[in-house]
Parts: sequence; C-alpha cells; structure tokens
Amino acid sequence: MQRYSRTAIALHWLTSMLVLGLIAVGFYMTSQRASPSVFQLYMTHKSVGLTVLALMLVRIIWRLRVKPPSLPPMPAWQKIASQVSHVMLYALLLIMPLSGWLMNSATGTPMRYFSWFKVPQLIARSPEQLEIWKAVHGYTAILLCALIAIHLLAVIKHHWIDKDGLLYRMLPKGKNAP
Amino acid sequence: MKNFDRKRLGVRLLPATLTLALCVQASVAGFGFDQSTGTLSFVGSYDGEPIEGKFKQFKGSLSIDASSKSPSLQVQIDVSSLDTEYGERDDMLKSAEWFDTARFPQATFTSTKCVVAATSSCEGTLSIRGVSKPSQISFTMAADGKSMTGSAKLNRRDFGVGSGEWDESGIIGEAISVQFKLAAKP
Repeated sequence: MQRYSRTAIALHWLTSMLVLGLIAVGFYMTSQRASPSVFQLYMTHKSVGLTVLALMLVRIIWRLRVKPPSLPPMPAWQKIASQVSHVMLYALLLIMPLSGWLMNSATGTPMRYFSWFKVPQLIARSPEQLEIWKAVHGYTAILLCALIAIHLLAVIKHHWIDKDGLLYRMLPKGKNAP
Repeated sequence: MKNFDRKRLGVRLLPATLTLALCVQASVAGFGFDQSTGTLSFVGSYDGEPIEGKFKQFKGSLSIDASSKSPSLQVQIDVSSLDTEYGERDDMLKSAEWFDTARFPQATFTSTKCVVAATSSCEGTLSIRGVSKPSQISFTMAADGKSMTGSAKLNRRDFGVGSGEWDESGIIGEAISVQFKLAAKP
C-alpha cells in the first residue's frame, strides 16, 4: 500500500485537529456573552486560525510538489467526487482563516500572534466590510462542517464497507497496517 | 390683545437683555464648543495594543475671567455617543458593566484651577459613571485663543468602567488616554 509522504500525513492530522478545535471553540465563543475568559478564547482562536492558514499554505505547496498516492480501484464518479471535495477542502481551509483575519481587521481590534508579535490589519476599520466577512466566515464554517462530514462518511464507506485500504494511505505505518 | 401684550413685553425686555449680554461679554472671555468644531477621542488597549474610539456628542465652554485672567473649563460628554466603529464593541462599552450609559448618560469635567503657560493645565473634577475624581488635563491654547488641543490620562478602574470580572488590567488595559481638540463655535 502506497502512503502519503510522512510530511503530508503529519500536516493532515495536525491541521485536522486544529480545525476541529477551532470549529468547536468558534461556535462556543460566539454563543457566549463577552467576558475576559471569552475574550481569551477569541484571542487563542485567532492565533490558532493563523496557524492553520500558515499550515495550509505549506500543505498546498507540498501537495503540488509531492505526488499523492494513487486511489484504490473505484468508480469514476467517486474519483471525481474525491477530487472536487479535496479541492473544496483546501479552498475552504484558506477562506476560513482569511475571512476571520479580514473580519478582525474590519473591527479594528488589535491582534497579536499568541501575544508574541503584532499581526498587521488587512483592511481599515469598516462596519460594512465587517458584515461581509462575518457572513463569509459564518457560512464557510457551516459549509466546512458539511464537507468534513462527507469526508468522514467517505472514509467510513471505504474502510469498513469497501475495505479497500484507502484510509491506510493517510495513517502512519504501524505494525497492523498492510 | 394677548399678542399685543407679548410684543410689548418683548420690547420692554430687549434693552435689559442687551445690557446683560454686554456685561457678560465684558467680564468673561473664552468660547463655547461642541462636536461641530472639535474632537474628543480616547485610546485604550487590547492585548497591549492601542485601540481608539471617540465621543461624537459633547459640549462645554472655556471662560476666562477678565479681571483675574484665570480660565475655567467645563465639558459635558454624552457617553452614549461613544463610537469605536464596531457596533458590538460599542454596545458592550455602553452596557451596565462598562459606562452604564442608561444610568449615567453624562460624563463631565469641571476645572477648579487652571494655569495658562506654554503648556497649560487644568486641575478639576472628572465624573464618569457616577464617580467623581480629581484629575488633570494639559493643553495648548492656539495663538488666537479660539481653540485648545490637549490630553488627559486616567485609569478606567478608578471610575468603575469595566466592573465585575472586567475590573482587572488584563486583555483590556486599565490605562486610558484622552485626546481633545476644542474649538470656538462660530
């Protein structure tokens, strides 16, 4: 069984953990009334989001330079669906942090990366821009959740129903893996 | 008949009013100001980085006593006119834990003693959110005496702005600087 490169596997699992955390914290913090601890969550959410943005740029470069392993045999429509959903995942994982960054910039709230260095604002303070990027961030989050669900359903189908070994391509080599 | 009386009363009062106005003019110089000719802004901090806002409604006057030459300054600020160009943040700042604009719609500064020099200053009483504290502002008068530019520093916690769990110097810093330009209304 041909696997993704170790770097690709590491990047995949790191971003997925961070993204799941961001989604959970994102929905939680926006449902809470303002308090210092909620503000702390926002600040952490922003810094982790920027981390995902940086990781996604590395992932895209890696994906373009290192050929991924071939898919196990499957119908043509599934191959196309796989291509489309992966391109969309990459796109949404770029749009999420970028729209969040734009949204934050539009509010004029200063942002530091894990209280380490100041992150520049992408645009000037603007209530109109805020409405746009807030909507983009919110709807993209829902779309991303749906796409992650499809991604997971595909894994379940291939691993437990088709048993075609697709999942092993993204798992580190272990003693039980083929 | 009624109209006629009112007219007559006006005519009778006119000289008195004029005399009074002239007396005031003679003993006190200075000017009145509001947001139409000046600005009143503040800079706080978020995670150690500056963030600013402004009050869009304020008024007051600078009077200079002709005999003693000593100026006095009084400013009234409509706190609910605060604007940081982000609705949710403005709403939070107006809420009960912060400025509590529903209960304390006005903030005021009334000078007790002013010194005019190259850099002038006024000591006085600053009242925000129902708390009055002695405070000081410094400013520079324009050469024509028709405007003044200055600043003040304060600690928001002295006035209970950010109460409860916000009464800490954490993400939202406690030090606030206020900047103003107050100019004579035409």
